[in-house]
Amino acid sequence: MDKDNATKRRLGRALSTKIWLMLAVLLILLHALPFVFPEFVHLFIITLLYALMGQGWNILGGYAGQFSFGHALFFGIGAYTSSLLFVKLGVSPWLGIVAGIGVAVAIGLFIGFLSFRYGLTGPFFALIMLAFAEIFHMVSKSWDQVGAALGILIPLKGNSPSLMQFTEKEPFYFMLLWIVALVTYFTWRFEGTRTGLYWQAIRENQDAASALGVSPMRFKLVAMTFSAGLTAMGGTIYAQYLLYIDPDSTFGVINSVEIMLRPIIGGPGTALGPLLGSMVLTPLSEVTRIALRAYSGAYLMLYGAILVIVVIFLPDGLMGMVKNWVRRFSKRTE
Amino acid sequence: MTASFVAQSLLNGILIGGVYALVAVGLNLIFGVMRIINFAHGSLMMLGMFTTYWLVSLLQVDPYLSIFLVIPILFGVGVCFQQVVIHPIMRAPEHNQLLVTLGVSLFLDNLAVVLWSPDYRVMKTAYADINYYVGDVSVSLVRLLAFVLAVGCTASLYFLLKKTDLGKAIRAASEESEGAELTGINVKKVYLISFGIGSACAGVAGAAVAPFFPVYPYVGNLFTITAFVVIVLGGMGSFVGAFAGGVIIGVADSIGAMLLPAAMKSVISFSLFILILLFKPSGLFGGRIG
Amino acid sequence: MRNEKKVSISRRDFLKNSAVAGTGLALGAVGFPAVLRGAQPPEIPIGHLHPLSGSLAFDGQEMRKGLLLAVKEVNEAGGIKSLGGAKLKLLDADSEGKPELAISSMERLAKSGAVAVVGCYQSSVTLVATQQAEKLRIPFVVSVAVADEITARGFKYTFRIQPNSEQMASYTLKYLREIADAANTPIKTIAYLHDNTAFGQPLAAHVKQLAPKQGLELILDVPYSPAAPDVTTEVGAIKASGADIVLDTGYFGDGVRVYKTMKDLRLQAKAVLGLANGAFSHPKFVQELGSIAENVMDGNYHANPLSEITKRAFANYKKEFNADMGSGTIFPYMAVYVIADALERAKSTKGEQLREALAKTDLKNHILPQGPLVFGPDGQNVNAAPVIMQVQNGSVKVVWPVAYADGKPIFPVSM
Repeated sequence: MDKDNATKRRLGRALSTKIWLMLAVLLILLHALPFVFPEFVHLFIITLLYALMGQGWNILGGYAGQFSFGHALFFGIGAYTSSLLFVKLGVSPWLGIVAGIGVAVAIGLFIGFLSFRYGLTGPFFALIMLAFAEIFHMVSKSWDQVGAALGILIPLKGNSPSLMQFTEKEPFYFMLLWIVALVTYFTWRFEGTRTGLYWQAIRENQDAASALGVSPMRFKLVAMTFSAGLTAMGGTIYAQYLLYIDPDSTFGVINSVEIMLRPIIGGPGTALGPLLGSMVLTPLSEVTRIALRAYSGAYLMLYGAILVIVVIFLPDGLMGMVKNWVRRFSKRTE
Repeated sequence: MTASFVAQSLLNGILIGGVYALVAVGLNLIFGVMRIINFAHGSLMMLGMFTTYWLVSLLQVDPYLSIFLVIPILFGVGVCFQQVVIHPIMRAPEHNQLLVTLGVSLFLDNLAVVLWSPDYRVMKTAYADINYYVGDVSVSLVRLLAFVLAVGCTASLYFLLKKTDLGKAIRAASEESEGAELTGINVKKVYLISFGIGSACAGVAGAAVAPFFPVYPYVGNLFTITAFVVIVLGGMGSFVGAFAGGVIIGVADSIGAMLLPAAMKSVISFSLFILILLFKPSGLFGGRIG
Repeated sequence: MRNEKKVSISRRDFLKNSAVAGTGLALGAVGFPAVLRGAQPPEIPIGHLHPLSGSLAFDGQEMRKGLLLAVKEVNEAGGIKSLGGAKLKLLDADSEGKPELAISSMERLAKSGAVAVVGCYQSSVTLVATQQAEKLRIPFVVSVAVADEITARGFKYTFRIQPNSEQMASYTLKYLREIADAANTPIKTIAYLHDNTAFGQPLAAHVKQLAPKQGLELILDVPYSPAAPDVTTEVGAIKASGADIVLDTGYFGDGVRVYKTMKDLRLQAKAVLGLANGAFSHPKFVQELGSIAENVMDGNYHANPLSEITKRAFANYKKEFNADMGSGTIFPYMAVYVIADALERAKSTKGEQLREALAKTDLKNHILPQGPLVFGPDGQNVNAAPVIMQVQNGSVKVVWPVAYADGKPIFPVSM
């Protein structure tokens, strides 16, 4: 018993039943949110959506330490795959989402294999992801078969759950709430597993890790798989929510930035980081956009400033700050 | 696909390649000396463009004379940038450095949006209407001047690094910063000056293209990415490489525009980028500064 | 006893006076609510979504001016009389040129009470906005957007006054052939430079398909990105094709860039003809480029220069904004009048009823070069057609068809 507790404490992962109950209650309460604040449902949906994709980025970047500046690639692949399958072949987006994940993972593995094989790390890996995202961006803009610059307009089918279309917004909210809750939970559980620990080892010092027998290539590719898949999932949901996608709004560089900022600001390498980051950044961008209506690029200015401040002063993001408070608080109560 | 069309495209590619080279040279200096990949380089160029634009539009300054103001202004901006934002993260992990410069880029670009609106502006100058004709090929004066400026700046910078004491100090600091400290070189000052010079180069590049490029806050993004491609192609740290890389990429984009549909024209240069990153990361001329 | 009579007001008088006063008060409350409540007559908000910032800001702001002028004119003429003289009020929304912003913008406009929306200048943004309008059941009157698909999706709430892609292309090519024949100039080949968005792409498809009907052949089709700062290679390709006629489609900013590049590269052709071009028939284009813009042609929507209403509108615009009204601006202007006319007939601001009234529109007092303004079951203006214009002596003249012309075509053009 003592040894178990000691291990748990060492991994810093003890979560008493009390806290689990609290989280469960929180989850139930969150179901009421769209009814308490109906005007903000869109905001909640976007927050959750980017939290999901941010978690995707987080697995590769925050946990495994491979920062990607091109995650819009997977976002776009997810969005386009499911939309094309639906518009051209009538395939339901419920199947399309799986297909999107499949294509994204395949392409992610391809890029990952090439990059890791040829030893690309740090900024060079970040840039090569960006380059691939831009190539997809340019191709999708020029290729008629995928709508070229016009993109894809998903036909209105009214309320049609089997086709992932709803006249109300709430179903998207609940869908994303559960997906994000599950993904966050499993990410948290993953931290303590062998794979999770190896990711962190690779992140801290890849050479040392491989000297200890951890195969960086294999584990980085596993991280890439989850990363690409989760982000692509977000892409499909986005497409079904807006019923319109085009090259700029999916593959554009700004999306890579938005996806990346959530975990970086929230706390890279933490399960709650992307969610926390999204809860701060999404409302911020909406408020700024409405307040400075004419020049809504202004919210990006704030993003830039926040990014600089966080990276310099809070390298562990907001979660780092939270953990410090918790530590200080628990020290005081000891 | 007539001969004159190909000639025209190649010529334009070379001329704009000179500008890419100038942007890359500034980036190169910063990377060579401090190992910092400056994602905000294009934003600095954008600031140079706007400086020239406002000087010309509001004060009727000659666009080429405005460069004498652009240089000190952008130098100053670069020094501030280095002091405030870069200095604290010199020892941070590389990807954090990239993130910080990304943040600055976002900040600067969108500050420009808030100050000057996202609208495209066209600088009105008589120079822009002058064209020379060699057979059926037109040579725009302003593009030619941009190329000349680029060559001039690059050459000046090369001279500075090779022949002056400051240049020697910069090279020493970049190769072995601790050793340089020991010999009495104020490494911190060197870093500040290098960042300033690199930024000034970006500013001059901006001033050079303002007569024939629309001026708008996000214009820098086009050049940042291209500059990265150029220095990776040419070899990080190599001047000759940066210049050669610039011209190669300029031509590659022109060929791309000739053969591929509009939005795809940079596919060639991006693919080159990927290939070089994977298979020959030291680039064509890779090495230390020089 | 004498004092009582003088001082006291007879009860009957008092009652009579009160009754009069009371009735007056009551009538006043009903008949002059504004006066009593101290408020304006009720306002009817009309929303609009245009690129008020970004690379198309110039065009978007022009749309807004057209709307402002029409709203002002309608209000000064007494507002919507069947709704108690209610005044129109314009609600702004900035699309920034991005289709994805259309969705939240439409929702915001709906929440602010817009009874109808006008927009969006770009086909891509309009496609998304009209889909939202259909979902929200708010009538949407397209100001400027040419893609056929906008009125081809079976939507009930979308209406468009301007000619669609197919009408633009087929009439322009037809008129081109007529002009060339009238000038005894043989023409066969066309090279088409166009933007690569939902604006230019469908037009290119139509030109390719319809050219043979006029004995013409599209030999080269070069798309370009409107946001691209440099189009030298694209224009170079057009020049190298040696086609008889150069067609060009683009928005204002890129139209200016393209044409300047054409001149710099010394492009030669029997005519440079815009197709729904945002620049070539715009007075500001002529201002910016001066004499090099002489003789450029454009097959585009335009006001009927021979109509009195047009002349009055142009004069009012000049007075209000100290600038000339561009062809595109006519459509948001007309959109307001169409909505106002429908409101009068519907006597209601409810979506479904307004939509019904719009569908039955039959407007003869308009400034368009066409017969009555009537919408087909798909919401498209049935009689819409472009005209051919040409810059002559620094001003834009309509040169074809003769019925609406205020100038004669100069063809072929000396470049």
